[in-house]
Amino acid sequence: MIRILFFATIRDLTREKETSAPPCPNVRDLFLGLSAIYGEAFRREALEDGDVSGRVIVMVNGRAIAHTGGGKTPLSDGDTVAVFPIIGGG
Amino acid sequence: MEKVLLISPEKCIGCGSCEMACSIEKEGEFRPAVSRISVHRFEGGQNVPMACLQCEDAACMAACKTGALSRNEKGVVVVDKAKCIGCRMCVMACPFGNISYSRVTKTAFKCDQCGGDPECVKWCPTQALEFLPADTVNLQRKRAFSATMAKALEEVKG
Amino acid sequence: MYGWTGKVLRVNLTDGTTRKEPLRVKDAEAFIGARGLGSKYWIDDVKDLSVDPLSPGNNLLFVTGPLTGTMATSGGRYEVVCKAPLTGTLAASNSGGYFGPELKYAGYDLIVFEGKAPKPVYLYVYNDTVEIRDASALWGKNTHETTDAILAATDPDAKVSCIGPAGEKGVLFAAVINDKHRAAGRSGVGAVMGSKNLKAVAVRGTKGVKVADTAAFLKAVGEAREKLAANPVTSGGLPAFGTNVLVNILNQAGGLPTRNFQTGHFEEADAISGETLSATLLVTKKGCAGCTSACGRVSRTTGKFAGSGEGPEYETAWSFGADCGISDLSAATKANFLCNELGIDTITMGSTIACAMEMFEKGILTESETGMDLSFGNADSMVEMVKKTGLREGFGDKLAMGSWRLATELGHPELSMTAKKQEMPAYDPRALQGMGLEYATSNRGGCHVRGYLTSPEILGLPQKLDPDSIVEKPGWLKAFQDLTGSFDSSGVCLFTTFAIGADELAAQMTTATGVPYTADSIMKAGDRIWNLERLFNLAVGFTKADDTIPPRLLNEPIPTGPAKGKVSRVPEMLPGYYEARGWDESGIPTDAKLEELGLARL
Repeated sequence: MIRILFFATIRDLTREKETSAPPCPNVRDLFLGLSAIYGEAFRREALEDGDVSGRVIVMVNGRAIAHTGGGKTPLSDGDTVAVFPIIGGG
Repeated sequence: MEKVLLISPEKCIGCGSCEMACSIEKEGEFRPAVSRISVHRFEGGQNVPMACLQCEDAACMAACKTGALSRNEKGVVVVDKAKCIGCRMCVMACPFGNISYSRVTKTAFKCDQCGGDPECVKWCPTQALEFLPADTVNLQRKRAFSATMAKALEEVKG
Repeated sequence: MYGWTGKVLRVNLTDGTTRKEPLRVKDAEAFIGARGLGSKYWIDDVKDLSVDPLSPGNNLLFVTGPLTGTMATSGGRYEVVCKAPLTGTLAASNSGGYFGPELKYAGYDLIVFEGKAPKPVYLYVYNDTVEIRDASALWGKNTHETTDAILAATDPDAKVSCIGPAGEKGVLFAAVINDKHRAAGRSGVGAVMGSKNLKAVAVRGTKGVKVADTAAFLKAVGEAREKLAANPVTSGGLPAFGTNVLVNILNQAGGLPTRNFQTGHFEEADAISGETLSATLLVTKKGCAGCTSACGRVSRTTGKFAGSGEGPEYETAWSFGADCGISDLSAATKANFLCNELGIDTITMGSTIACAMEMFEKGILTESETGMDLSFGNADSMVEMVKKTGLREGFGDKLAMGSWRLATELGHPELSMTAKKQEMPAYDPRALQGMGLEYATSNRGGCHVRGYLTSPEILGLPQKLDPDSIVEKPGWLKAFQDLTGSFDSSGVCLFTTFAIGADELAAQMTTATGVPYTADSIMKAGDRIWNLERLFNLAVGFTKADDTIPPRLLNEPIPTGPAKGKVSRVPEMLPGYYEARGWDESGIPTDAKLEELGLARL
């Protein structure tokens, strides 16, 4: 299974802190599946033109997908995916 | 239609943009001390911007003996500097401290809603200040605000 | 003058005299204000850089920027500048709240305190009236009691910047606290204030600040504000969750230093996160003067750790949380409240306790010395240690030295997570290569904020950088450090840089002061300020050998979590950083560099 963790305002969209999903090829496909579960509000934040949107920061096992191929980042059984909105601090 | 300045303290973050916007417009410098609107910041985190509420039964007007305070065609209470003798009865009369006295001009000064386009409203980042038509809905909101303030004043007095 | 008031207040505490003098305009134009100008004033006035930080010769400055007190974007900031007792570098600690603007409204760009008062005093400034008042009745009071007492004795609308018992007793990381809940926190500026018998500075100002071209200034501010309003950080994450929103994302990246940097992942991170803070302890959000983001937290705890106040910020929830192995947010928040009341830097405090905890678990410290169980995760002991440190009681007297001196005294300097003796904040250099380079090279020691590469490395702003890569970090770090230097000197809050940059600062600076700044000259001013601080360090004996971080981070791979197996590669990045800076291989600015910036060696 793939473990998916939600943070900050993403939790308002999913109404839960975490969930799990059966293995799927890549992050984009995972997000398409999550959008089907969580609905329009999640889809609007997380997807853009059929791929992962720029409004979320997504990490797979701690590595931001921005550096591993974006939505095409492959997923394997046992991976942890973390989803954040764009946030900041200091 | 006449417009009304609506204050929503629950939205106020205490930034003081209103004080700066007012003073730069009216006095040419960023100077909260002479702003016609003031932010009251409370320990518990609440912030309340206060400016002249243009009371229907204005205490300041009732206190003024020279007729320097009158209501214009927009419903705004304005100061006629030529008639003002600087007695400060109006300053004492306003229960909210929303009219002040200038030692420079030696006359009273207060919010005049910038002639119909209030600067404070333009610069408030959270819409804690709004300038809206004085229709039923908005007047109701204004009365609700006044009731809250009255209740708060009672608590403070008691 | 525009922006700047043109007036400086100089207070000789030894003689009990005050005088007003004109602002050094050329220096103001070149070093802008606050951090940069304060540093220049300190160096030019004190001259003998080897002065002991806790001696009367260490001048203490409260410095605003030209944009402080104006409608500039989040323009509410000021800095406390002196030589730092904790590190021996220059200290320039930034703070928000309302004190800075009030000082401008009283008519001053900065206050310089010289010497030492014979007995405790506080300064009261009401526009042109300046009084040195007896503070004997206030000595020993915490910052809240002090503030209330001074407001009652002066003016309810005055703004107070003061120290608590920690500063009075010379805790090496004592802070200066203004408006009760905002801190000029780092490097021990509070101890310097205490060493001068200066309890507080109270200011009431009813004058105003003028700008050179009002219409153009308001236009520049309006455009910058639009960018802030459209940015997800400044108008979304920061107001909603405060800075503490960083806990989970750093943890997920494997870079949340845990148990004194023993690892980078804390299983219970969510319990101390901004999400949890918002859901449990948060009362409301709060902003500093002129700020549209309102990232401040008003919070309240109940039960065993009952209290109220503002915070905790990310670095604080980390230092008393993950770094101490503690998952109780109430405990961390209570520690935060205590630090504000006692006047202590939360980062150094938490990290020093964490160092002591590691030494306790390794048997280097025993319960007979500490007076209580000091294992990781012991929230009761952590809170107790904060109290004891603020009052220098029991083992707190030892903690008051900071982790470097404590660990070194016990023969284990390698267990102090510091750079140049100042504790590193909440980003593990092994997971964020750029932050490691920032810690190693920052002029004031372990500092995150002056070269905040976390923004590109983790948050993806302004661009996404790979936290593991090293080749581009030197150039990026120089740019961040330079931009930060200018923002820190202008009076504008650094957090605006999530949305705006040198262009917007130049536009506001030019229209406010009438001095023509460009994005280039803003960056160059930041470079100048950075080099001035570096020249100070070199003159007092810092060398390339000090541009480093603890061996644990260079040699011991992170044992657990998403960044498992990684080490910091600071030594590989350092040559590129020196080159980017225009320094030689020893990290010394070249003649050409100094000429470019108009600086002279010290």
